[in-house]
Amino acid sequence: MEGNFVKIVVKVEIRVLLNEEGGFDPYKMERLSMVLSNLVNSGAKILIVSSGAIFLGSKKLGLDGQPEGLIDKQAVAAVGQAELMKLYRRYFEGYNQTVAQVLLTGDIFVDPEKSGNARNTLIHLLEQGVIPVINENDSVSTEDIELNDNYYLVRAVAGLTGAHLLLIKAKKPDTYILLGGSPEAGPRFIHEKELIDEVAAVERVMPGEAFREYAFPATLHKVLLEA
Amino acid sequence: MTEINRDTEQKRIVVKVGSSTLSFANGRINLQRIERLAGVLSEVRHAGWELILVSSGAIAVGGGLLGMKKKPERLPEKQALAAVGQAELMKIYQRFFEPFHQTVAQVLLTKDGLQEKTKRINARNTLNRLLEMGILPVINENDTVSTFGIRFGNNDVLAATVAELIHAGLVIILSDIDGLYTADPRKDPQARLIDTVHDLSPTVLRSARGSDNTFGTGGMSVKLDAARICMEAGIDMIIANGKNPEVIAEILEGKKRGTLFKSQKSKD
Repeated sequence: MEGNFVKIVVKVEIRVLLNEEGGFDPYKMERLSMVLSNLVNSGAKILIVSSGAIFLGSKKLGLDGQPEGLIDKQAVAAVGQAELMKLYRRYFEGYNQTVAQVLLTGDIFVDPEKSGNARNTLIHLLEQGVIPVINENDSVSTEDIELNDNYYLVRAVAGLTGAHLLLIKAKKPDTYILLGGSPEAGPRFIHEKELIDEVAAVERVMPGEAFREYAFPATLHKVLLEA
Repeated sequence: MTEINRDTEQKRIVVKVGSSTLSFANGRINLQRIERLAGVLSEVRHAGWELILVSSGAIAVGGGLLGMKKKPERLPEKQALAAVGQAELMKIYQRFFEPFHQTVAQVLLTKDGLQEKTKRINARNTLNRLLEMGILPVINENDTVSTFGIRFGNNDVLAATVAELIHAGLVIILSDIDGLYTADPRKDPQARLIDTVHDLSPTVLRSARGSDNTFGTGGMSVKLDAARICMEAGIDMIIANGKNPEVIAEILEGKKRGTLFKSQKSKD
């Protein structure tokens, strides 16, 4: 099945799901789940890499702000990851999509056995029509916690699964950033209305190309943060 | 300037959407298309038009819900999927109409129900009352109890029959082509869109046959069956492309879209 579908890694940062007061915005989650469910309905396979465990854990525990120390962050993330999956499951169920939690650690980069296992699991989920929701296993791993984003994870997942495209939810309402499709194609802003046509119109889907070309240099990172 | 009969007593319109508008080529439901449809229908309703929606899609939604990989072929299988999917289809409509404060109601009809006098009056009373209440009726054939010989079998004819029942002025059929062509536009570069049909002449019927088996599930001949019912009842009918549901609002603003089947009795 690998050649038959466009595989897209979707990066969701919790900040794009918050309202102006910094609280979780159900409306934004609702739109995200509708648009991504429709992308799946159109025939694409998606893998979501989502942050939010520490944010939701802090809320759940009634903490004032987010914890600073690494161990505190890991403990809070353990609470929040369950909350994060609850949200994904609830909202995607509304559109008849099944989600699965996959927690990865940084050693999938270097351990061939682990990377093989992770790859098999992810591909199998996609074949079953399930949407993997991936996060770092923060309780035992510290790479991305320290960097405070999931860029390593996004690249690892894209590489493992041979993803063709990277889609990033922008902070701007109804807007996404699409990368890949051809080596020349830089990041482009796309309204959610155009998303399916845009993905369908990708001429050359080259696994991993988008991610080699744009190894998330600082400039891109900056673009994304402003998006 | 407009050629459609917008001056009916009731400002009543029947809009029919098929699977080609509501779902992707793979048969799965197109949520964003339905969202846009809900947006434009709500807008038109709030502008004062009385609307009835005839919607297919139950089988497609049912198939998606049950994770079916293939489209069902046998009738009992389709009926079972329709039973599963119809409830889900209504849930989807409710969800997308809700932000526009538009209430929807499900009305499932059968062919014999629209032929028998008492049932016919009941159906008409229900639809009239729903429209008075500002509710949008969403009609489909009651697939679970309609079997061969007693079913409409397609929603184009159902839409025309409903329009006749409630004295609508216009039926808009959304399809996956822009309208009726002189020949199959995919095969014949000379094919051109016919903008108005005044009577269903042999030439028109030939054009329809030429473009049949190529598009959609209903086919053009079936749409002409619906056109015949409309035209004889004094109702205009338009076939337009449902890729952009906003075409409904454009038609009602008087813009020329698709192919208009002009009824003999309607006022110009």
